[in-house]
Parts: sequence; C-alpha cells; structure tokens
Amino acid sequence: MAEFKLPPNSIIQSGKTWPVPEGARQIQRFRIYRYNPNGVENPRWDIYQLDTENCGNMVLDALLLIKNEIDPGLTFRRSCREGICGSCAMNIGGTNTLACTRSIDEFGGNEITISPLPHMGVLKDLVPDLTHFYAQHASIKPWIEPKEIPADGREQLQSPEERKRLDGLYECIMCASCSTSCPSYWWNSDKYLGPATLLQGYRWIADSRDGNLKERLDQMDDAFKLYRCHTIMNCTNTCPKGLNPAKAIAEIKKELVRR
Amino acid sequence: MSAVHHWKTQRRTAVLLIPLTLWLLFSVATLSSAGYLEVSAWISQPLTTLLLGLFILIAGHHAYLGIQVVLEDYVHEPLRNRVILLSRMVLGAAALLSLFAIYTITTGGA
Repeated sequence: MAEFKLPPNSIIQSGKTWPVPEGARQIQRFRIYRYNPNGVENPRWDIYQLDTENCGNMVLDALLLIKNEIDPGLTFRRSCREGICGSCAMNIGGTNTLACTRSIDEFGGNEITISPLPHMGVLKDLVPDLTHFYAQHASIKPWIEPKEIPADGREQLQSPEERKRLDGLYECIMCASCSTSCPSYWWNSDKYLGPATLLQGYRWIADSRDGNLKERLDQMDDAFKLYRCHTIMNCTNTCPKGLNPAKAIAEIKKELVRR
Repeated sequence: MSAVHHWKTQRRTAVLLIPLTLWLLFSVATLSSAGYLEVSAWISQPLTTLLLGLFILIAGHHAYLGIQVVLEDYVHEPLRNRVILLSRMVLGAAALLSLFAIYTITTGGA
C-alpha cells in the first residue's frame, strides 16, 4: 500500500542554530536539512544565519558561503553554477529548482528552507540517490539509432522544421526536479518512468533521424511506464528550465493513439 | 489489454456515457412520482430495456477501468493484482444482478 507514515528514522528533528556572524548587517536565515544515513541520528534542520551583504546573489552562493566559512560538513552537489549541469537541484522554499539560478531575494521572508529532492533516498544532507533515475533514463536508449548510414559517410541532414520539433525537449538537463515533484513518481517510481525520462523519451521519438520509432513506442505502451501520468502538472510547474514535460508525455500518448 | 487500448476504451466509454447518463437522469426525474407498476412498464418498453442494459454494461466497464487505474496507483505488489481482480468481480456481479433485475421485470416475473 501507499505509505502514510514516515519510517521512524526519517522524522526530522530540530538541530543546531549557528550564531549570527559578527558585525552582520543584513541577516538571512537558512533552514537546511541535514542527514547522514550511516550515522545513528535522525535527520535534523540546522539554522544558518548569513550576512547577505557578504554573500553572492544566488542560493548556491549562500550554500557555498556556509560550506566555506561556517560548516564544512554541509554536503551538496554543484558544478557549473549557471543552470546547465543540473547538479544543484534541490527543494528550495518548497519548490524543486536549481540553487544556482534562483536568487536569494526571490524567496523573500527571513528564512529560506532547503531540503533534498523529495521522496528519494538521501546519501548525505542535500545529495539524493539518483542511481535508479539514471538507470531509467538509460532504459529509453537516449541516443540516435540511425535509419541508415549515409553512403557518402557524411552527417544525416534534417530540415529546419524537423529540427524545430526538438525545441523544448533538447534543453532538458536531467536535473530530476520534475520527476521528484511528481506524486505518481513518488508512489510508483519502481516502474513509472517519470516526467524527466518521458520527456527524454519523446525527444528521441520526435527526432526525424531516428530509425527506432516502433521499438520506442512499443516500450511506452505500458500501464506503468507511461500511463501513471495523470496530468498533475507539478513537473511543468517546477521545471527550472521552463520546459513542459507534461506536454511531452501527452505527445507520446497521442503518438500511441495515432498508430 | 494493451495500455493504449485501456486508455482509449476508458475515453470511448466516457463519451458514450454522456448521452446515456443524461437520458437516465432525465427519465428518472420524470418518473419521480410514478409508482411500481408505472416504472415496471417503463422498463419493459423495448427501447428502455435496450438503453438501460447498455448503460449498465458501459458504466460497469468504465468504472472497472477507472478503479483499476486508482488501484494501480495506490496498491502495491503483492496485493495489487488480487485487489484489481476483486474489484472486477464486485462490479461484474453488480452488473449481472442489474441485468437480471431488468430481465425479470421485462418478462413479468416480478
């Protein structure tokens, strides 16, 4: 059955409140989820207080400041700091997004809550376990399986119209914000592919150069892989790149009805 | 049943149920003050018998498909398939009983 109660070791307790830095003028509080699954303690909320005059604009800047100057133990993923690698996806102020592309000001209030992507195993603090998520992405064969190799050995051409079908799809950076915001994915992620993988699935279904359409659609014709989507639309609401996974899923459903 | 067939059938039955449900609601409203004999006579009209039978079969099938989706969402293995089978048996029995009731009324058995 669906789980209605948290297991005892995931009940979050209140943690440490770190002191206000000396001489701070503009104080911003951050309430951050801390958990070490290898330890004996339950997860906890730690409160960090920063002087925003001493900090960059983005939430990621605040996290880096905390790690560099207050608490080197705070663990999170980050890399490009410009919204293209997807590493710093986390739940900020109640919404899954990228810490590097959202400014501290956007969230307002005197406290910003940061937790890992929802309903995933936690490796430590803000780092979720994405092993299964990546395995699902691999299962849709995210590469071109060419119809035929051109005899002259050159590239396969695509008309501007054919290329246009990939707009709104190819920009996905697989940050997992959408999939982990989806209640259907929370309940059934063992089988349901989730919005990110389905958007990627449609990206290869829509590619005019791909020769594997039948097999791709056969794979999607499955009550659990595709049809767990009930157009809840959290995916589209939360996508930090402004994409529309719900529409991509609807397009797959249309392709299946058409054939 | 393939997943896309399930999806299509759910929508086709939904469309068929729009006129059938409107017809049924309208008829029941006009019969609201009628007695047992009047209602029995109404059910025994060939067109009513046909439409009522269709309504029971289509609504039952639509309900089964919808409940299956809900159960697939919220009930996990190993219970899932057993609960779906149970829902199918309950709805099947309800449909059979309803059809049997219509048959009894139209043949004057009651």
